Amino acid sequence: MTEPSSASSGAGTALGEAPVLEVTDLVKHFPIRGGLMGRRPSGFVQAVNGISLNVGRGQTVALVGESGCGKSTTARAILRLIEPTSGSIRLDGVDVMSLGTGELRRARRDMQIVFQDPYASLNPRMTIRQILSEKYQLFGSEVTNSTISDLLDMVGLAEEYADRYPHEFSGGQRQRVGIARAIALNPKFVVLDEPVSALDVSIQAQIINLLEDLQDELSLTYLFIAHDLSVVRHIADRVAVMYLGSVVEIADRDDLFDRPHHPYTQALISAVPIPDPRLERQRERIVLRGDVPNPANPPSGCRFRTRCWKFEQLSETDARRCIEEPPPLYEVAGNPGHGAACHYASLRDVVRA
Amino acid sequence: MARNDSTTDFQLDGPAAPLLEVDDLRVHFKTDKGVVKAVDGVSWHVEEGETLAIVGESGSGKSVSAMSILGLVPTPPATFPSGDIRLRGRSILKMPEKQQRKLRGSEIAMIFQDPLTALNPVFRVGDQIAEMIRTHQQVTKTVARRKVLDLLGEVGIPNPAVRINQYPHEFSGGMRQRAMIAMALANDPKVLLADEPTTALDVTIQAQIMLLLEKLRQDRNTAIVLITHDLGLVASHADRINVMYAGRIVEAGSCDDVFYRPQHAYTFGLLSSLARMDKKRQTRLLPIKGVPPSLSRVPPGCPFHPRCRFATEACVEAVPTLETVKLVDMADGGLHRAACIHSDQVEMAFQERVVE
Amino acid sequence: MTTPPQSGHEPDTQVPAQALITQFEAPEPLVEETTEAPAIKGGRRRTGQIRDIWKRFRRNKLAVVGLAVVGFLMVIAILQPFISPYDPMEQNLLNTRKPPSGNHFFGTDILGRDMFSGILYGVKLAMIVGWSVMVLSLIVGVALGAIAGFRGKAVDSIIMRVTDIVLAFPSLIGAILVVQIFGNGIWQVIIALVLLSWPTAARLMRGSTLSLRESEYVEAARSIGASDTRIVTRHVLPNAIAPTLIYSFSHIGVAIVAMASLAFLGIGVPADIPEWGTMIADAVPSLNVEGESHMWIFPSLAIVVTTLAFAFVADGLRDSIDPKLR
Repeated sequence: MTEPSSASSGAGTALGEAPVLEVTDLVKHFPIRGGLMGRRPSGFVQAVNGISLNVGRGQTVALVGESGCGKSTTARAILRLIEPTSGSIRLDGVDVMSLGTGELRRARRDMQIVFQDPYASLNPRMTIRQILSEKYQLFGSEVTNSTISDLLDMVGLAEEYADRYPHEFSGGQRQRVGIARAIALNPKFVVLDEPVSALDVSIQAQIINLLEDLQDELSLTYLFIAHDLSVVRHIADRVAVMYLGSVVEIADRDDLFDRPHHPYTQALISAVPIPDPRLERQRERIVLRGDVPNPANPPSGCRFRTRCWKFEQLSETDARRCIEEPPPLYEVAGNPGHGAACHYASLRDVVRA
Repeated sequence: MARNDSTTDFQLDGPAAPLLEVDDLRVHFKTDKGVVKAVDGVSWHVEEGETLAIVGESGSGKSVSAMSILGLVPTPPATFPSGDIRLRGRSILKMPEKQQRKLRGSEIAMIFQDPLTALNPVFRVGDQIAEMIRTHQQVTKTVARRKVLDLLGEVGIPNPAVRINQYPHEFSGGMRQRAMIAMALANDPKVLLADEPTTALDVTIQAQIMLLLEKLRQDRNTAIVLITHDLGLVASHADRINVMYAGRIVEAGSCDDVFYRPQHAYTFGLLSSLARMDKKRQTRLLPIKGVPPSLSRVPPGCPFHPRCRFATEACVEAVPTLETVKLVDMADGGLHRAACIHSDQVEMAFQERVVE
Repeated sequence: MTTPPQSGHEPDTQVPAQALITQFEAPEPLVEETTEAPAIKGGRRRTGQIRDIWKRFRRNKLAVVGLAVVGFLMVIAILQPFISPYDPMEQNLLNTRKPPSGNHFFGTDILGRDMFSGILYGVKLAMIVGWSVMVLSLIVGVALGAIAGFRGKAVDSIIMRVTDIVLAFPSLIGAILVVQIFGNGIWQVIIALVLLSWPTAARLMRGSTLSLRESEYVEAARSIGASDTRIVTRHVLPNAIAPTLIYSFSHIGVAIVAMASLAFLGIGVPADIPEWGTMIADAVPSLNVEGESHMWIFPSLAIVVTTLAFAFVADGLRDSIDPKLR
């Protein structure tokens, strides 16, 4: 029943081959400036708190979590669009952290991003052709009319519209342009930062299919940032669940959805309504108490314990461990590819029951 | 019941007429680019203790009928070429302004996607809710305040005694939504219109809020009109569903009927384009091609025909009317209607896809 | 107790009609979503935005009138040497303070110069000074504002403190001071006015640069490896410049009035050059003299008409270039 899930946290489809992206212990702290002069930081928001993540070639790894969990910050820190505080990032063997400004600019050819908001991510004063050509110009690559028309064709847009401005297009079409910009010049690795969450349901499917087709055609490697678990189950090979700056559970797609072990993952999955009324009537929701704590002042030990449904049921001695000892990613279910950061992790079916 | 009798001068508890009924409503906006038909002949009704879902994508006009009920649609530019809205048989649109005002917020209340549209940032949350109570009921400030405390507790806001004196910005997103719900409940409304109540919230908070609405419906027998684009939410909370497209209802029926036997090509399209969390072997999604039409330029005939995989010549010729599909044999019953001349094909295609 | 206004359920005016309507109009794509898009002939190209601006501009009738007047004044300024009936500087002490007649449309001044020719010369002067001040303060303001906004930190602090200092100065006194230092002359006036007007332009530019610096398309440009210079010139400037441009344009009228005020006080423009402010100053002794009112009426009218025209156009521009700025 369990498909053999390959070893180590980054394992994927390509056994033995080195992962395209290796992120180790990535940390991003934002200083909080206070006081009159606002110069000296009065504290830190621990947005990303030691994330390790591998993405295999041609694979899609999803990073999921609620707003403020640090998933977008993680993605931008990996691309060094914001400067990480510490950690190591290797892209196809290249140590991204050690690159100087000019080297980093050149390295961007291999690491791209598709943004969430197709209305905000295209320069309103540039035509589609200008937007797409810019990247070729920056990397000293020749742009011909056919370069742009081929690129547009690949994302399902007709060439006639190349000389129009973004505001003349619908959200779905703009997102296609954003995708075209990202996949131009065949990058090794693409971050998809909630690429469909700003779109209408009927348009979402178009974009998801497009992303899947492009991955097959160009053997792209995706890091998919999302809060919508339904889309994640559809598109991802491997899923990492984040809570307050840390990965709390990571596993291959079906392991994560069918055999979740972390109480947060379980609550998250159980909270997603499924468009199937009969199934919904038999599902039991785990409703978490309260809100996500302030990341400037996270709880001690396990960061999830203040909202944890399992923590409430623990005996006082057991609970102490959650308060005092931050849980590492434990291997669960005897599966080296499945980790959960919970001292008391155990299986619970939350999709169907 | 402490409810003030003066809020309405007619019986709300009579039998015959539906609790809230929207009848052949048309809401048009006059603009430079022509007439925008935001709502074009829409009828629905809702009864006590029932959840009616109005489902549609952005720009389908799904919120406008609800907003018309509360007089939130400004005239001009809006006009109401036809239609009526009735509360227990009494026309709201024909009532004098003052009487309409009394109804709003007392018998019918609305919660929005963004709580900040309803909460004034410069006043304390507690004062706003108390004011809401005192607008519609003649009670002293002390009584109103006690009621506010009860309400805040009821909607699950911890420490009501502290929270009552705080400003909206001191509340988190989920707490604001709760505060807005508390305000909506201040006068014990019979109908709660919820316009995308959880769209701005995280899924774990959404679960909290929906649980709260579900509890209120059971405890108070409130009718809920849930306006949303989220079919998952609809599947888990609605009794009946209206699917809207381009300002019209294209399919209406019980929850199970719409999800398991969709009769309109648009409903079929929506259901087949959804990624599902419970499906292990992922079939390729079946997107609807194209984009929804601008409501100032709705295609002739069936408004969905340019995007429809089942469309034929006949679809262009006449606007299909909402026809009763069949008196459904399913246990939960209800009238299943769809405005599609190819509903047979749609159902067949759907069943095939399910089997696959 | 505080009385919250109609809260919650009767926010009758809380839903702006326009927002309500645009949600139904917004997605009006020209293009089909799928590959098999029907070919719509694309003829709009880059004229599209300018045409949109013009369409919105035309709706404002006052702005159109203002634009016509500005255009008319520009033509006069260019043609001044050819249409001027007399040499505006030529004195005729035998024919002073004459009321308007067939020979002298606007009459003559205290030195017997033709006032019509003088007013025409004043138009040229006003256009030169107004536009120069605009262009120069725009260049300085945009450059410094963009650098301050984009670079931030110490550079930002320094530039902003300088603007604070300049803005803290009463502007007329500042202008007088500058002209006194550099001496009289048209270019000295222009420099004085630029020195006083760039800080506002810089602050506006800094503000819009700051907000755009965080925008997704700037991040997108960075993500494809664009350098800072390129990001500023290609992505930030074109989008951030609108408010500053509108400010600078509306400042043209202010600059013209400022020049006239200085001239009225006998500062800046040399006294022998016909300038509207100088003309009014010359007319002061004639204020209550019958038959000599033409000496102050015509230059005053010229100032009023010119500044109003520029103000109307600036107003129209504000609404049409970026409707969001309103």
